[in-house]
Amino acid sequence: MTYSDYFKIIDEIRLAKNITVSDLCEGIISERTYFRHMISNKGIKFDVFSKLAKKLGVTSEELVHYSVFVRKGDPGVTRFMYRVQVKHFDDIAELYPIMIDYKHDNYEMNLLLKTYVKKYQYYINKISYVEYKEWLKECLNLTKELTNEIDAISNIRALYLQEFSDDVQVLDTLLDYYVKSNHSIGFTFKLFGIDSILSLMVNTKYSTVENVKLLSEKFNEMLLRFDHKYFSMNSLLFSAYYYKLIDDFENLEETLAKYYLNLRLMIGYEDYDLKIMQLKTIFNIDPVELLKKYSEKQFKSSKFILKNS
Amino acid sequence: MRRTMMNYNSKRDDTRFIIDYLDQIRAERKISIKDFTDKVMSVRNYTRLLNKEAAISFEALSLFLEKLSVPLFDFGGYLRNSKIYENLDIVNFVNTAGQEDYETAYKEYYTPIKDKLENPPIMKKLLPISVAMMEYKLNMSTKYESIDKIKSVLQLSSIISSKVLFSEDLDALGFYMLICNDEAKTLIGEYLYKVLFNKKTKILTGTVELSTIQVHLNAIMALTRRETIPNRDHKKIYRIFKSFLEYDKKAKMAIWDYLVFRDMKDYNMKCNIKDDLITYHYISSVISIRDSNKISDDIILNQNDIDVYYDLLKDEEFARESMYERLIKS
Repeated sequence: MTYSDYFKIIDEIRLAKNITVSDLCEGIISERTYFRHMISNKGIKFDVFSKLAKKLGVTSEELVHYSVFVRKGDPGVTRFMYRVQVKHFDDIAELYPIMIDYKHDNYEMNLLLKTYVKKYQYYINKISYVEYKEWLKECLNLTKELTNEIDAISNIRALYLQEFSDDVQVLDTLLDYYVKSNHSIGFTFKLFGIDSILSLMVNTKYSTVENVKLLSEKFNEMLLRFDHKYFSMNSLLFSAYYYKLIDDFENLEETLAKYYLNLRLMIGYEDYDLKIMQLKTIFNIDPVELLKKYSEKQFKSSKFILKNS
Repeated sequence: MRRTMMNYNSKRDDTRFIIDYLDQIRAERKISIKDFTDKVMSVRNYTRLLNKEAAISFEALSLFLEKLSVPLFDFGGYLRNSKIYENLDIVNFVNTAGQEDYETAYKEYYTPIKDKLENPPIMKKLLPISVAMMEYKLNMSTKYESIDKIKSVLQLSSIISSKVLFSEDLDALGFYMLICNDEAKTLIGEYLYKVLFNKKTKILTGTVELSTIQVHLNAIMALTRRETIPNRDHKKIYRIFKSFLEYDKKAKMAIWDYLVFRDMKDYNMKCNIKDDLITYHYISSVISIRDSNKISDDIILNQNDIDVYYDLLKDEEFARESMYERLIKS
């Protein structure tokens, strides 16, 4: 994608909105410069691009996203990673062959993509668990000089920790980073990373009250900006676990009931069975009875109005 | 040293925040300006950028982002998120109005945003539209005054004739449908139906899957909330609904799925259709929502609805099925 390609996108949107070049350029650049930018990569100023985008009523971020994910024909990198992260493979078959050969411009993103490819291959028994773990160790070694601030790297380390949870040093530094990090940047990979770490922490020795609280709060804060049903479901589990740690039974029951109802919707078959077993083991509950009790309470609340048929 | 700058009139430029955000990332990562600018430009030129005496080029921006290992699309997301955090008052107002909780929007969020109404830094369409809706709902203006204000901002004919659907327009349509007449709803519904199935219109947004789900939601809302629904639209409505189920099964994104099930349940009632699965999903989507404050409307049920819900709760086979499996098959 060249800089002049971004200008071609500006022009596509201009045409879609029936705006003349003259009207678009007025007060920003000359028409001659506008057309020159579409064929030459030299001397293109980002502020000019931003001003033209603003005049068209779009943000520069939307334009970049449009160019990367829509116009170009989205190769599906983020979508693939997301599908592997949530372990949902309905539409992954079309993406997987592309991801095997895909080379991302960014070195760290390339490693992250490869890690998710390996994880998927492990899930579908294309490689063994040992091979997957070997890759994770190799990846950690390749990137040991790089900081957690590179979001692809922190995400790789979160995936590594899911299989090597005893690596306390990596865990501690990653926890510290996630709690303090600014999630305005690298949002998606931070979301994946925190989701992985919290999943690791539920009902294991790695969870201290403080760590679970801080990381859950961070996760929930991120979901305020971009609420997402699957991660929202997980946040209920993480919150429930925190309530268990602090013996807050009232909030625990409500949160678990909601979690279970989401689980019934979103997860099926063997994965559902595994999750139910996890729920019963960690919380020692009958989820159906808990849900019935919670539902009865809800129907009696002021939110629900019962009318005659 | 490559030429990466030009002099410009800083009074005309309001995009200079880009360099500020770039520098913020540099500072957060504790990279010195000297190291940051090495092989890109001189420290002096970088300082000129920071002082807004010059503008950054695409080339320089790309080189800096490469040094930070930040892909361009991620930087774009960072700009957007940063703007949101700087204008949380506007975001909170629009979101609260969007949940149709106009009283809270007015009491808690209206005063801080009043000064920004003339030239909002973000949500240039959504803010005036949500204010107009609030004024109507709180009897501060008549319905027609609010409709006029909304129409002048929305420019519906321009949206529905465009080959690109912008995310703010999509949100704005959602607001407009709460107040417009059947004719407008039909126009919007037909347009969104084409967006979904014609594929000639591209959706321009930061989150394609989320926006696609929103298109489904708005399309169902537009077509089912009319006073009179022609029989010929029945197939269309169900096609959109099935498409929503199949799409969200893959994306698992829709936290406001209860709106879809609510509209489908109401539509079924109008057509005297009994559908237990829709009833169950409506109730469970309300009960399971993480933040119940997001649902501002009352949930009206009868005893039969509640019985259906409890019956399906007991169904172990149903519990184990994959997302919307039974609904999609039915």
